[in-house]
Amino acid sequence: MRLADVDLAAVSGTSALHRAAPRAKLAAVACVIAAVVVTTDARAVAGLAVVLLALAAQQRLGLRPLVLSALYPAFFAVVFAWAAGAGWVFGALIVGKAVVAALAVVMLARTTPYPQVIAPLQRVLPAAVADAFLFTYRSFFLLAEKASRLARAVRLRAGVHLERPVAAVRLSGRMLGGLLIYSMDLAQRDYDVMRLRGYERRLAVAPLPSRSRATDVALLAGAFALLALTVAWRFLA
Amino acid sequence: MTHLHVPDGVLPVWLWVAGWIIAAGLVGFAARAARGRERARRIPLVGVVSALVLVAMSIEVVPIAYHVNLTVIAGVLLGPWLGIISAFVVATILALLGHGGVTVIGLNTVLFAAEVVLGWALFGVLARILGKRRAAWAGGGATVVTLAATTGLLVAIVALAGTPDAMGETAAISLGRFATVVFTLGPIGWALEAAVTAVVLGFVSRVRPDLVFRHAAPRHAAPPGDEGLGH
Repeated sequence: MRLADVDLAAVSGTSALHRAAPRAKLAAVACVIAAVVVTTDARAVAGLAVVLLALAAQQRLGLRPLVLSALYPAFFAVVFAWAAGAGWVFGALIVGKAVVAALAVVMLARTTPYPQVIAPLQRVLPAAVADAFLFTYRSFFLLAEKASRLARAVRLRAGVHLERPVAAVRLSGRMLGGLLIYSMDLAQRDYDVMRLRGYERRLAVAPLPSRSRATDVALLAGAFALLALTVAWRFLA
Repeated sequence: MTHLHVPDGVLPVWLWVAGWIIAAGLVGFAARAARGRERARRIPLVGVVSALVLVAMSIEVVPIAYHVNLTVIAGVLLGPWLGIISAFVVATILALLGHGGVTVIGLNTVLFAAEVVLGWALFGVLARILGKRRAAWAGGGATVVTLAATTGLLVAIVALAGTPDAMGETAAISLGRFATVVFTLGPIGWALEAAVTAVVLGFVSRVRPDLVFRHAAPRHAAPPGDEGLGH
């Protein structure tokens, strides 16, 4: 899981998609997901995938990380399709849907800073839940760094060896235990710091204004068109 | 975590909509329960535990690419209500990373929340029966039972989805085969998760029992002025 890479891509990119309003991108992703839900034809799903990949290539978002991100759910989709006894056609449809949906959300995640993805959702989420999303975002990088240092310390001292699985599990468990204790103290410090800064149970993220209205309009129009075509394919073809 | 690795558009619409409705109810109820000042100070803890779960999922326990999920540990640390909020946060973030569908966030929240709440309850019961010194055994036992139960819930969800009309004639899902695969491979994951949970809870219960047993005194008294540290 490369949350750090995704976050870096989201805040440092300069493509038109990066400049589009987060709400427009969320709406566009919703249209693509709706198209994925509606379609029952693997060819339509393949078409959606081609459109998304073409957009990603045109925007220079980096096809390799996108494709790798989409392969992960594809693997599980293959396992599910096999385990569920789906035939080749249905199996291809399942895998295709996994890939397209993953491409859409990962493109959103790689072009929109995480707090800006949460900002529109704050209006509908309870304060505790919305704040939990933001505290999770803040804590993830601190814990990932701590986990990386712990893992390095373990490797320098003894390492985790497959030929001693019991010792490996015990060592990994103690490492996680140490990380857990660190995270508990981190949570307390987080709260104390936020209280000092005036935190009163609601962290508000100001939504970024759009930096390219033309991109917003084009994005929404394209997403609606994809959805309309998919619906037409499903019910008229 | 028993995660519904089913992409968008595979399950019937009514099923994942029902998942969202149930998840919304659970999360809304949990958020109301977290409104008081004392609860509110634990929201950063929800964030930290959710982040810990996400970090743990990116760490290999042994070099066979298996990752732990820490759902039972999350339940023990957070309790049921905050655990439900954590379940929703983790399910949503995983979906944003392409790990699981967006439409099935509701169902994944229900599965994850079931693990957290059941794990919390079973650990409490087993810890009372076995004693605090055997927190490791209580954690391991709670994990195995919890994951077995939620795997059953996962199969039940897939059973509900196995209607031929969802996608047309090709939509039939072989429930028997799916259940056979899941319950054959599942125990391997349960055992590994239970082993890691047992080691983690055993370690933490010795070093910081106040984190695992809510009313236990910290092993070492906090220096004056630092009494707020530790829960």
